[in-house]
Amino acid sequence: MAATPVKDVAIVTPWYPTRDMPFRGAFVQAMVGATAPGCDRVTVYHGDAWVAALSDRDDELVGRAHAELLGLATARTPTVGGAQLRYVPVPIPRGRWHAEIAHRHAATLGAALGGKPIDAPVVHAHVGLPGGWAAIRNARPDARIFVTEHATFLDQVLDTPEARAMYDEVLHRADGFFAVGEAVRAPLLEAFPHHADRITFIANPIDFDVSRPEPVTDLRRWLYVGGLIPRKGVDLLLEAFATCRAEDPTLTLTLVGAGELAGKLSERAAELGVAEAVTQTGALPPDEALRLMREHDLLVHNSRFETFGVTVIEAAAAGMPVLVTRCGGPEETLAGVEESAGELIDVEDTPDVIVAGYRRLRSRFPQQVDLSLARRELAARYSYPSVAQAHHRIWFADAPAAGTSDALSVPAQRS
Amino acid sequence: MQVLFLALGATRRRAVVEETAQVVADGGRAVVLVAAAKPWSRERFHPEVQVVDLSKLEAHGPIRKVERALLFSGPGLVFRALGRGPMKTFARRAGGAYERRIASPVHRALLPRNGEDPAELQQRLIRRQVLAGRPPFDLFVVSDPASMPPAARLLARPAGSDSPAPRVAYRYDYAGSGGPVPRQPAVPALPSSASAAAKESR
Repeated sequence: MAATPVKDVAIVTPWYPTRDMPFRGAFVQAMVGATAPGCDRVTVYHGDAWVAALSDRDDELVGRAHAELLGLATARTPTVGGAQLRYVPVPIPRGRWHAEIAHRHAATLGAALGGKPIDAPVVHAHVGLPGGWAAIRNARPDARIFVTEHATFLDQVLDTPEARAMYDEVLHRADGFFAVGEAVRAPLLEAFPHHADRITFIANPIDFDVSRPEPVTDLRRWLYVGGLIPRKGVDLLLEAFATCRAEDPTLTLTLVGAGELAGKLSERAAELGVAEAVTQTGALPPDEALRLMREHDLLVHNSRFETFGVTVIEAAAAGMPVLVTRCGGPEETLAGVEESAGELIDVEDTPDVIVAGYRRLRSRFPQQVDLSLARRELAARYSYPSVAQAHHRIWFADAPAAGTSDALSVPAQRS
Repeated sequence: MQVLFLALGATRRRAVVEETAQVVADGGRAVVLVAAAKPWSRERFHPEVQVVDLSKLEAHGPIRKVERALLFSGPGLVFRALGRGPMKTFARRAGGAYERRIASPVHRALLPRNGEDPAELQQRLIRRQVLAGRPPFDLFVVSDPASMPPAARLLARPAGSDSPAPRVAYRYDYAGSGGPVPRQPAVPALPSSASAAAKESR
């Protein structure tokens, strides 16, 4: 008779990289890749929102048909770290708010499970709504539930009384609730002060295993990784690049990502006379983006708001300096190693602040920038082993040791 | 492997284009069923991927051809003939109004008179003109919400049927491998907007 898995975890997430959205939920995939090797079984339930224009009649027909199809499309496929992935599309008529979306995620996961609860004693959800809601609605009564919140749009999520009540229920049911940074925790404390002592921190894991073959010697090859959207300030970045390139024609800029500004950025690069120095790669899988980090000299990240800022730590892991805004996450994640890792700049609606930040960084590079120190310090906080230990410690606090699991002695939570 | 992608809603075009190319790269054969070609006009499928336009199949029946000629093609010729010189703008607007207010409603009204539910007609077309006359598909990839009802109808098997059913997946990448997947116990229909609690709109 097969032994019951001792360290058995289900991950419930609305975000996970796919072929068409290779960046979305890369941090969830990283968390699975970091934590699964220390577990006996990890199953990822990816509830992927399929938004479409559907009339009420169409919606009803789709719901009925989907319930039948879910009983047929039951395949699980291997994903990172030895975990298994069950892909569960969630049809959503266009224009629905977060409360209804969360209800649909919960109902669809329940249908995919054939009406049975998630067969795992530990359930870790990503994003309070819809992931946390789907988890508490489908977990076994005795399951321990944990939730990590990453969302940059909590103000929208908590905008309706119903969504707020649902979120409150998630917080109440969860055995542990984590924010990936103060930018996430602060609005939660404001909205749910009665849960203040239950909302703590946990970090996204970053892969520090691969280092660049040659250290950065000059800050010529700029790199941006992220959505080409207004919130990321990428239009100002392009303007700043043009100014800096007027002083140094050897500079280049690679924009990795997709978004509504892609076309406008190409046009503007041509207007500024820097088109031949600017490359747009489109969206790339995370591995490919990390490879590009090892081939560039400087990550420039001019975002208006980040809850964590994974790419900034990834850049430090790849041994490249960063020029990044104090936009919520990065000033926390880089705390103590700001000057070693690069240069922090304020969030302002002008390219001048980027230009000035670049000049300051260039003037003290490489003598006053210690990338090795930054990399070492950040690895202690965000490497896969560090973050895995933090998860294992909370998940299996009472579990007997399994053969493959490490001792769980180093918490990665920040105070 | 023979893979049929049902992509009638055209809402996940990039995924379909990339996954069909992957089928070809894996040595398989991919057929994509689309409701109409227009939403896909900017997509570039792998040359070995066959794209079947359901709207063209529907238009190929003899009754449809006559109906189309009487309602759309013939009047269209008249409006174009009238729309020369100073009458051009007027004729173009009148032609558009005719199609919106007369031809299209009549076309829709005629559908039930053919004695067949449009969904049944669609299913019959798919069975006769996509599934019949070729090796059976090993896998159906249901690629968007609009494709779920026709997929469920196509996969509904009569009692006692012993031919192997194709496997079903929502992404080619996540289809798994092996033979037909056994059915799970029936589950209740998913809630539509009527039973989901929130009603707010963006």
